[in-house]
Amino acid sequence: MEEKELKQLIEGCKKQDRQSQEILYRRLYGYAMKICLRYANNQSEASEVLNEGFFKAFTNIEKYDHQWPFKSWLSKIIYHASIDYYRSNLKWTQMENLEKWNVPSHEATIEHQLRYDELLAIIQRLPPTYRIVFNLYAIDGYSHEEIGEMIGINASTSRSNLHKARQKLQQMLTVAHSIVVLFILKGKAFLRKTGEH
Amino acid sequence: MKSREGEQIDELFREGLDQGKDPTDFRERDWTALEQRLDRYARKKRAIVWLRPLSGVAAILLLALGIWALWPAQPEPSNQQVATEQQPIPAPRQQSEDQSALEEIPAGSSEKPTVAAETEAQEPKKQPTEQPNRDQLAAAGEQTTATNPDRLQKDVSGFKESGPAESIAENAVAMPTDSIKPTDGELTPAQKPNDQQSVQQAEEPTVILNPLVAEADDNIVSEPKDWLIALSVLVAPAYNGVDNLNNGKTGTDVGLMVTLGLSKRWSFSTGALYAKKLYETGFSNDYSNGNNGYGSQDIQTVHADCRVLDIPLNINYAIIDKGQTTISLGTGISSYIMLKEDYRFDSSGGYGENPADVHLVNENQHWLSVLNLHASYQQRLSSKMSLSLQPYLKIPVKDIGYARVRLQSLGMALSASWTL
Repeated sequence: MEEKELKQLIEGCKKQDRQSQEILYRRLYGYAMKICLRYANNQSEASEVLNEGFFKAFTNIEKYDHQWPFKSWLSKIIYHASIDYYRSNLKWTQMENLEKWNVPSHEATIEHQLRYDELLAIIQRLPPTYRIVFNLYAIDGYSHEEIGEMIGINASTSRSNLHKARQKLQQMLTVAHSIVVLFILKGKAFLRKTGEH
Repeated sequence: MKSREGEQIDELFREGLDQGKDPTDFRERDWTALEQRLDRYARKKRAIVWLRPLSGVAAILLLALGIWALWPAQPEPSNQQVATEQQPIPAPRQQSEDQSALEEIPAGSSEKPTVAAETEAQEPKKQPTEQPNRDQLAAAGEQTTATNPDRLQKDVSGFKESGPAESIAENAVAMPTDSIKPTDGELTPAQKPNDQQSVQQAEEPTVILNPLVAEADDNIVSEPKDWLIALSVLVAPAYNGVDNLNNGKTGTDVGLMVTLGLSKRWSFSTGALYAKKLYETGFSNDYSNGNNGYGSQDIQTVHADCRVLDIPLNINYAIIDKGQTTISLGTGISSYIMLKEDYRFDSSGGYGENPADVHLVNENQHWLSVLNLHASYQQRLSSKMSLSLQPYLKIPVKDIGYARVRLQSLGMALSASWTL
C-alpha cells in the first residue's frame, strides 16, 4: 500500500468514513491477523482480538501521528488487544496443572524443516499463560520486567513461564520431528519400492 | 533447559513466524462484525451528544425553580387584615341600636346569633337580633340578662383595648365550621320565642366568643404533617461514565435514605448509598507518561471498577401534590467515599512505564463534590407506605477517584418509603 493512499485512508477514517475504514481494514487484515494468531488459541479467537484492535484504532484514530509508521501504531494496539483478551479469558487453573509438567530435554534438530503454519500450530498449542510470555519475550522483544507489568505478574514468574514455554515447545518440536522423520522414512521406503518396480 | 537451547528455540520461532506471508484469507464476516460494532458505537455517540444540552436545560430549570421557590415571598394577607375590613361594624352598632331594636324587632326573629357575629359586615340587618334575646332574659329575671349587654360591650371594649378591635371579627372569621354547626343546630328551637332554653342557647355568642379564640389558634399552630420523617430503601440501576457518559457502564446503587418534611412542599433528605460504579474512559492523553516513540499519543484506556459510599444532602420541592401522588424536583450535593477502587490502565506505548493495575482501598474521599439533580414521582399506598420512582443525574464538580475523572451517573431509583 502506497504511503499516499494510506494517508488518504487515514484521513477518511478520521472522518469516520465507513468506506475508508473498510479499505484500510482489508489492506491490513493479514498483517494484523498474523500478530493475533500468535497470541490466540485459534482463528476464531484471533478474529475477535483483531476486531477489538481495529475498533480501538478506528475510534481513536484522530490521535495517530503521521510522523510514525501506521503499521507500528496499529501493531501496538493489537498487542494490547491480545493482552486484554488474554487477561479477561485467562483460566488460572490451567497454570496449576502445567506446573506439574516434567519435560525431558532434547536437542532441536530438524526445526528448520518446519514451515510457518507448523510453527504457528505449535505455538497455538501452548497454554495461554506460557504463549503470551513467549510471544512478548522471544518474538516481540520485551523484557521480563515489562512483561510482568503488562500482564500483572512479577518478573520471576515471567522467567519461569518462559522457561516452561520453551520446554513445551521443545517437546512438541520433538514430536513433530518424529512424525516428519517417520513420514520421510515411509516416503523413502515407498520410493524404494516404486524404484524396484 | 540450557539458555543456548532456549535462544535457539526463540530464534526458530522468531524467524519462522516472521518469514511467513500475511494470511490472505480475508474473512468477510470479520468485517461485518466490526462494521456492526462501529455502527452501534456511532449511534451511542450521537445519543450521548444530546445529554450535554439536556443536562444543561435540566440544571437551568432546577435553578430557576429553586430561585423562584426560595425567593422571599410577599406576606400573605392574614385573617387579621381581612377582619380589619369587617370589624368596624359590630361593636358600635351593638351599642347604638340596642334600645331601638328591642321594640322594633320581635323576639322571634332572633336567628343565628353566632352567625350574626360572624357575618355582620355582610348582613348588618341581623345585627340587632342579639338584643331581643337579652331582653327576654331580663324579663325572666335572670341576672345574666342585666349583665349580658354590658358584659358583651365590656368584652368588646376589652378586645379593643387589648389590641385591635379586629380580634373579634378575626375570631369570628377564623371560626371553623365545626364550631358553627352545632350552634346552628341549637338555634333551630330558638326560633320559638317563648322557649326559655332556646333563648339561653341563642345567647351562646357571648359565651362562644372567647373559646373560639383558642380553637382558631390551635388550628393554626398545630401542623403535624409538616415535620414527618420517612425512611426509604432504595435501589437504582445507574449508567456511569466519563465525558458525557461516554463509554459508560451500568452499575447499581442501593441504600437507605431519611427524608424530613420541612413544610408541606419542602423536604430534606440524606442517607447512605452503596454504589457500584463501572466505567471505561476512551483513549486519553491525560494519563500520558511522556514520549513513547509516538510523540504525545500515549494512548490509554482506563477500565475502572469502584465501590463508592455516596452520602447525599438533598433538598426537594413538591411541585404537584394531588391525592395520593406527589411529583417533586430536587437538588443537592453528595460526598463520595471511595471504598474500593480497581483500575486497569492500558496503553499502546511505553509498556514498562505505565501502571497496569491499581487496587486501592479507602484511599480517596471527595467531600461535597458531586452535584445531584433529580425528580421524583411518589405514589402513596397507605398513610404510612409509599413507592417512588426517581430519575437522577450526578455531576461531579471535582475529579473523582485515583483516575481523577469526572465520573457522571445517570440512574433511575426505585424506593419504598415508610413514614414514621
